[in-house]
Amino acid sequence: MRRTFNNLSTNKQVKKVLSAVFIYCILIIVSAIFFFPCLWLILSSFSKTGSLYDIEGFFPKEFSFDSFIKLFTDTSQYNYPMWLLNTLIIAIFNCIFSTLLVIGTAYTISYFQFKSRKGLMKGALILSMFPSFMGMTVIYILMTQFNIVNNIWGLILIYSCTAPLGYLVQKGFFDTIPQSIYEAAKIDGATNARIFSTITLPLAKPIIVYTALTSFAWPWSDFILPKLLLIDKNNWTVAVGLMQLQQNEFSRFAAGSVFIAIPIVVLYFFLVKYMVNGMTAGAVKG
Amino acid sequence: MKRFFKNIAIKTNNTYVNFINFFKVSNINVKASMALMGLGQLMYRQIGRGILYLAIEILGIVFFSLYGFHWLVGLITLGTVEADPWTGLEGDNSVIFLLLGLMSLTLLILFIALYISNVKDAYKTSLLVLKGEKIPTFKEDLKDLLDKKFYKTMLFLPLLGTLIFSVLPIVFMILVAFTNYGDTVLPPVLVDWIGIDNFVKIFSLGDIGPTFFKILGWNILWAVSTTLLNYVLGLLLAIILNKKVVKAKFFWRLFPILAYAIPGFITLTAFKFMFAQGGPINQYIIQAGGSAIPFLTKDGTWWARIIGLLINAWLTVPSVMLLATGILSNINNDLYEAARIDGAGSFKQFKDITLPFVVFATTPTLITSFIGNFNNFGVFYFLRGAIESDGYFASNDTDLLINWLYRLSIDNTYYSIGAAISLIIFVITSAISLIIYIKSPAYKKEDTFR
Amino acid sequence: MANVKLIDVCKVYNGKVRAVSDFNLDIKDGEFIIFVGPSGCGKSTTLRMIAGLEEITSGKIYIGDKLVNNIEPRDRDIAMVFQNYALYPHMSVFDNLGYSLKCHHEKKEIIKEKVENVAKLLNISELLQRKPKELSGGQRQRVALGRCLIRNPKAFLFDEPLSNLDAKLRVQMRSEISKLHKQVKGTFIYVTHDQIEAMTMGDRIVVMKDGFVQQIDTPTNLYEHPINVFVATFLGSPQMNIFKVKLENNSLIFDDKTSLNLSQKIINKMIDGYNDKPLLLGIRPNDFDLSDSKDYDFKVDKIDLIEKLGNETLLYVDLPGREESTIISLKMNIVDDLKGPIYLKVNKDRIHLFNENNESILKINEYNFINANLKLNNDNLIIDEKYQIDNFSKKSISDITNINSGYIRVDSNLFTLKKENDNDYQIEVKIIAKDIRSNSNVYFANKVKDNIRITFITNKDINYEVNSKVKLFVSLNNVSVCDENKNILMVNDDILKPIIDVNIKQFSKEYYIITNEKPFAKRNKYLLIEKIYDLNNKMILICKNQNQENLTLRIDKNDDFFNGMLIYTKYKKDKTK
Repeated sequence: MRRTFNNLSTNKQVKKVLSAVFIYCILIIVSAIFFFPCLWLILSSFSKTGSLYDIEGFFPKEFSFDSFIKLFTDTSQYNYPMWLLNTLIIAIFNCIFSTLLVIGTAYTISYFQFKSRKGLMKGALILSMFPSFMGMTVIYILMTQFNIVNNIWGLILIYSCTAPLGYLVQKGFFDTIPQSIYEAAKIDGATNARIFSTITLPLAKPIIVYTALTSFAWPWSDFILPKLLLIDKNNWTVAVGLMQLQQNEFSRFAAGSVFIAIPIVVLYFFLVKYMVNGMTAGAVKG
Repeated sequence: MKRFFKNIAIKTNNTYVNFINFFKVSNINVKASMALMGLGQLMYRQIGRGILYLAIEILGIVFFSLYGFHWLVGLITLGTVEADPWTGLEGDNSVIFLLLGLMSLTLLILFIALYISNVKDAYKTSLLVLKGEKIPTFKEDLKDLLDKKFYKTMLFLPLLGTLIFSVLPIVFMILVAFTNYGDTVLPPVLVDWIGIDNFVKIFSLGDIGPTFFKILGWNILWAVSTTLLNYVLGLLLAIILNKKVVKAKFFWRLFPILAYAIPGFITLTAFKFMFAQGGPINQYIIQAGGSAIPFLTKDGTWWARIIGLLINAWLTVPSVMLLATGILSNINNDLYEAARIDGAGSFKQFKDITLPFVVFATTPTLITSFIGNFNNFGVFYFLRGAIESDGYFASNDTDLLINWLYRLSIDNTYYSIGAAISLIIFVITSAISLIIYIKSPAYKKEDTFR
Repeated sequence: MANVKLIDVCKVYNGKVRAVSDFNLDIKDGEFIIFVGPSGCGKSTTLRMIAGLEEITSGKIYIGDKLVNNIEPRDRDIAMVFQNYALYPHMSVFDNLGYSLKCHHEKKEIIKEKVENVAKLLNISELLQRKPKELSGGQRQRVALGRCLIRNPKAFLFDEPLSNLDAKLRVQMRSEISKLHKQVKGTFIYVTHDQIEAMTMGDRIVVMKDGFVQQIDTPTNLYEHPINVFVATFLGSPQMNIFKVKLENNSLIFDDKTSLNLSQKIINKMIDGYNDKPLLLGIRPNDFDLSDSKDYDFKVDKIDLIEKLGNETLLYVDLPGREESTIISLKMNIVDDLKGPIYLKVNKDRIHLFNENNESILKINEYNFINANLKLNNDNLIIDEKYQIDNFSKKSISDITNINSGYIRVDSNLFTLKKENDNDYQIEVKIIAKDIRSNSNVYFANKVKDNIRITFITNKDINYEVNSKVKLFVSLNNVSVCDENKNILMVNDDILKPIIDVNIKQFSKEYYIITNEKPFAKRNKYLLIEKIYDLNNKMILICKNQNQENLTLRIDKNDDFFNGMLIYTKYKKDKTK
């Protein structure tokens, strides 16, 4: 009796240990899969010659910081610092305008019950089902006809004005603020404008941060629209510029990529907290 | 079906009857506003509103007589005078005509809407007078914009922006799909309306037709398989990471997030080089004694497709994992404990508790990700953008409809065909998503928190 | 502080769902009134309409003397405590309390002073700098109360404030709110689904069901004289037992042939015409008593269950006429377990009888119908040969050429005690009881002569002994005159113009009537319906035409052209009322 009992318990423990080992193995493999391409890119950026063909397998023949240095010094053909500046300007203004427009739209649709509300929401849904390409092609056509938009303000304008269509996440957040808080404020004597500024905005800090950060990060990774819109190479963003680079100077491309990838990845780590933990306002309940 | 049409007939009849009633019932002020915008309001001593509406009417009439009407005509004709370099004649630019005509049409619709609002406004005021209530002054109306009608103030800018930068371009492209704009027909050559000819070309045999169907088939196959693959892998990853035995969860999550955070064009380009004919992976294969695999080259049809699938998984699984992690944390632990007491093993628990819950919670995202994958431009653009295959009209064997769209429009100026394809994409994706969305349980419960 | 009046208030959602129907109530200044009923009965909706958080579909609400239908909540000068308190989570207690003053642009020093005063009053001075999530449930409720107090509003509204508290805290807060009411002397309007809260806290209770008011009265009156089965079983714990019986010559027969004789008092109170008819008998658990085999009403062989509660014992037994167990409450501690057979006696003066529409057939009405001698002299109506209403035919709804006797219908609130005056109608009454909670000055009296009960409420301090005689006065300008069938002939103070028969042909959403009949149509393009009276085979519509002239229409329901059936269904009264 006793012996079998012991066997059973060790059996169970063995099973447990085996499954733990199994799980960790999978985790290690998965992490490796995710990490290796990034690793390769980082290593390539340290290649001395800067050409793809001098990289054996995953490791460059020779290591140096040259590519990084050339990024910032050799600006005749590939003006990386200029691209950085352009993208920074776009990112900052997009952050400001988009956040204002999206938060305003999401709050309004969440809070006010007006007649055309359902209609507007359905309209936004339908608009978002058209391939985003259609709009871009139009702008491209207009540009080739009139040379209209060739500067970064056009890009900022387009980003900001199409941002409100993506209001759903923010609206979901505003939906979680209990109506009774607004009602109490109305009874206390607040106008709707005052409610928005003294009650909604303070409670909305998490989602405002989320919107600001995502709209700041977007111009750094968007490629197609800037490529269509920005002809003059002095107006290029980092994305457009790097794609020009990759044909000829691979390790410079890798270096430039690594350089901007780092802050973006750091930014995303902050955002993950919001995405995983959910975004509840935590209005206090009795 | 029959009931549907019957309802429409009843509704139109009702609207007609209502309108006749309305006309009979409305008093002199409302009729005045019907005749001349703002007149009824002025008769009610609403100076501010009256002048505003009157000004709109005047502006509207001036605009349409000077420009609007011509532009509308231009919308229909798309230009009549061809440019002649010999005589130096400027000629009509069809594209500009299309654009201006569209703008004019929009303004016309806007004007009609304002007219209707003018009549409705007069009617509402007449009801107020009948009930013996006070007519609000203009100042009070303005204050309302900051209070009861605050939503109007807030939505004005976003609506304007969306109208100009989203609605107008889409309508413009829809119109282009029915012209012959593109290829040889570019301004200063006049563009004409050709009805559904573009669509006929796409669906029939000829240059374009076969390519269209080949790409469509692959597109659907791609969308289904990548969505499923990403979903399953993401869910599995989330479950594994959620298990109690895993320590330092945050550390393990770093790696997928790394893959997710780096901008797509960078990683896709890196993959392109990694899987190139002479790239590192093939180098190792050669070293190990095999022969170079044509992962992404012109001949590697099915290799390229599989690699594309795997790379897209690499890019998308992290976000699915994050979403699933959030949902998993919402599942009540009591359910699992009850199941354990009932004797269910871990697989059964997964099948009966986890899976239904997560599927229910993610059905809407499944649809959006299906559409997103259907139109996933980036993957094959960056991986195999430069390659054209035989038997394909301006395309290759891994292109999706949207890649083909890009090539046609931007690389090759076949604008009208491209626009027609955009429309087809829209019809397909919207039909699929509407069907699934309406059938899903999540659809019915939009405002449940309130 | 001010009084609050609701007149014919209705709330309809999406043109279909009727949440509240025909709500009429006069809340006196300083009164603590409670809306009570099961979930979904419309009590919260009504409260929110008073607050301005819901639009009023039809009817009027007055706060003070101001019509507030279209006035924003902030301008109605009311304050509200929500079920979940709705404190602003990101502000400190101090800012929470001072928020409303800030919205009204008060100076900082004044805000500080007022906040500190209120905090002292409610014992929360130490909590002023904390945030809501750091407070306990009871503390949060005090802050919510403070937020109301600081504004010195005309009325305090409470939306189920105690529902989220545990039982002990609930009892404590209940007494605190009651004490606050006495301190502040404000008009409190309180919504709850808990009948115990209602019975202990209110001056008057409005019992609601499915959007309709069932009965409005003091807790004692509601308990003693429920107007229908719903009110009878809703108030009082344990619930009243309802039995199916048949009336046969002043005896109630149960289905197993047991009979119960009616007491004389009940016979006097009963409305005629129910002999041989099935009825519902209501007996409260504490109106049973143990007896012996010589004098009993029910013999019970077996007791299903005994529940000992310390100060009282509940017995569950099987009695005829009822499927579920009958609950009997005995105010004693049964030490030994009782075994059958037991003999039960019923307090026959305290039973309740209801007809098959669940209405009480004992004569207690909200309106008092005072029998009066009515005579028509030319155009004037003479009441009891003493009082005269001029131009009666013009004020009456239907054509009356001859009338002998009828009723004067008087609302309980319209009686006053005062000096004689030409236009007032005098009634001699005898006060036979005084409400126990005499602090709230609610009395009821009884007109001995006709066994008609007159209920009236007054806030004045009246020191009359039991059984003394008083004179009540009611102003004739505020009565309704009814014919023998209690159909209304003349209503309140509306000035009515002559009656016109009309066929309703067509109407649109806002209850306009459009008709093509000439010459009616010449003067009246359309009519806005303001009030509808539903008499048995007729409907009376009080309307205004487009020139704002008043018009009264009589419509025969049997009329073929009566498209107004739709109007009728919209305003159809619930039979249980």
